[in-house]
Amino acid sequence: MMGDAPPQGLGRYALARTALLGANLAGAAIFAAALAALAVPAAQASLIDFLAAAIEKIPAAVLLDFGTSRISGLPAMEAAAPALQATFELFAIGAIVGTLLGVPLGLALAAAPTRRIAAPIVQLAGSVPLFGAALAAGMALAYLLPIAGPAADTMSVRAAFASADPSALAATLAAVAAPALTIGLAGAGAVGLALRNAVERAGAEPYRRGLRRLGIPKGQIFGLYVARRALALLLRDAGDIVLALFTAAAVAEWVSGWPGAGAEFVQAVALKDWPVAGAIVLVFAAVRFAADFIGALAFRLLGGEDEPA
Amino acid sequence: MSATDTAAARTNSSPLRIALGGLGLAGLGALGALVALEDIAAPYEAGMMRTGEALAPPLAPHAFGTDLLGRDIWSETVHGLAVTMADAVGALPIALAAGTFAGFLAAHMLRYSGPLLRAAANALIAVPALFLAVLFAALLGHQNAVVAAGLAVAPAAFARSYDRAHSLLASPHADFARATGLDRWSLFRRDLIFELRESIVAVAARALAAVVILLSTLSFFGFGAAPPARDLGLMIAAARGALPEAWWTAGFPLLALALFILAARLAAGLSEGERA
Repeated sequence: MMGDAPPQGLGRYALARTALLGANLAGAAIFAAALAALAVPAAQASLIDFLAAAIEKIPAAVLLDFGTSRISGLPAMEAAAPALQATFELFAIGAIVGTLLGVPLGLALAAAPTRRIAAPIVQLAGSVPLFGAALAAGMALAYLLPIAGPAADTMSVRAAFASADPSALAATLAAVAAPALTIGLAGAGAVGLALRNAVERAGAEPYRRGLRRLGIPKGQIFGLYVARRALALLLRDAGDIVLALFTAAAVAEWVSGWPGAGAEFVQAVALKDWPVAGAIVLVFAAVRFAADFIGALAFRLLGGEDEPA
Repeated sequence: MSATDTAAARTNSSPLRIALGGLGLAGLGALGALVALEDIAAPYEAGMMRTGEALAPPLAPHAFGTDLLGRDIWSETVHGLAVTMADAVGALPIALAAGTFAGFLAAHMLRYSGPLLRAAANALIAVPALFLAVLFAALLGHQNAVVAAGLAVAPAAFARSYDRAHSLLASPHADFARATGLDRWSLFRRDLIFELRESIVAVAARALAAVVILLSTLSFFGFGAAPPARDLGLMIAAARGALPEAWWTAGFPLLALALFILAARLAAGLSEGERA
């Protein structure tokens, strides 16, 4: 909590967070190497053989070499790259929608009267599994938009824009609408919740009352102090928001048939294509850890002093 | 104090939260009673086809309608809820033992390997729990989806429990206990009993909500329950094809699943939107 420990210098703090990032990435690389080792025939014999194969795979995994895909015969990272690109496109759309909807939602939920009214609805909505939300989004869009089945070469939003072919672009946008909406809603929920908690925590801090006693208007206190502190706390939760978006991406891709990394991971595991599964796991974990790292530094730069979670 | 602790403190102190927690437990009890009376509550046996017209809308005599094979959706939902609940109750002890208890034990007893285990849990938490569940289900076989869901929830529960135990060990009461000559084992035992008494219902309900979500998603993906034992996730997956014309085939099972998760969330004292 704020003020429990003496504040650490920014340089030392950044160094400590860099070390933590390195340790986390090493942990993720070991996990991904263990997954890739499942593809080694000798690793099936016993636990000792599996551990030996996993240890042997670690140096290569650090260099993003997980072996070749059992399905495509390509190097695993190369095989996973198109799916990862598709997911990051979805992720970007989801992040934009999430921010546009989530920020007003979080601010509205932080206000006491709105929160009381919205609490049961948010609680119920939070109890619907993601695949239910994805199905509902798909159904809603099917009624609202004439969704056409996309051609195989239009599964990249960027490529569809670059092609300048209106029909390919329309088909791709129609295909991406349902998963993007699902991820956007999940993102809005994650951002909104994090922001609501942040505003609530920032607003409850004792300095606020002191500033009020000094005669500073509420709006000014919010603009100058609370908003900054809330933004810091929101950025501190960046890793959790990224994780929520990845989970939503996996479910939305599976439901809507979007060929992203989440659906690719499920397929790779089902077909025992362990090198590809390992590559996807490492990329997802690395992005999450990077978000944690950047969020923690931003939190500190904005004046946060407590140890980021 | 972590956000979890803050939430827990709020849970314990607010009368509204206590009332909602009671409501959640009552909801779980009601759903448990419905499942216990499965044979009476469901007029048709699990999987019985041609009980009425195919895709009949929700009207008497089929209050929840029928599916493509003429199965009564109300009966199927009750049976599906029974399978989901039985699986969740099976996964719960695994999540609690491999997650909550192991984390508490590691923080107290494993001075050197404990932090390594915590770091390993951190690496696993960075991956969506759904991925872990799919992975474990594939490695252990679909018939062990219950174990897979329990194990997938465990890393997050381990981390929460480890951090909680760590903060307890750094608190003045632990210093005092050590100063009076209390050994690590005794301190562990006392802390554990205190924590069990204070928060076991909330911790178990939170783990229950998490395993229900994972189990139903696993089944939806085809990694969990297999026919004829259809759980709610599998029912919803099977209804996807008919969804545009017959929303009730997936809508009612989804509602039952959401109510189950909602009851567990309320019993856990989770605030709205907080992840299980």
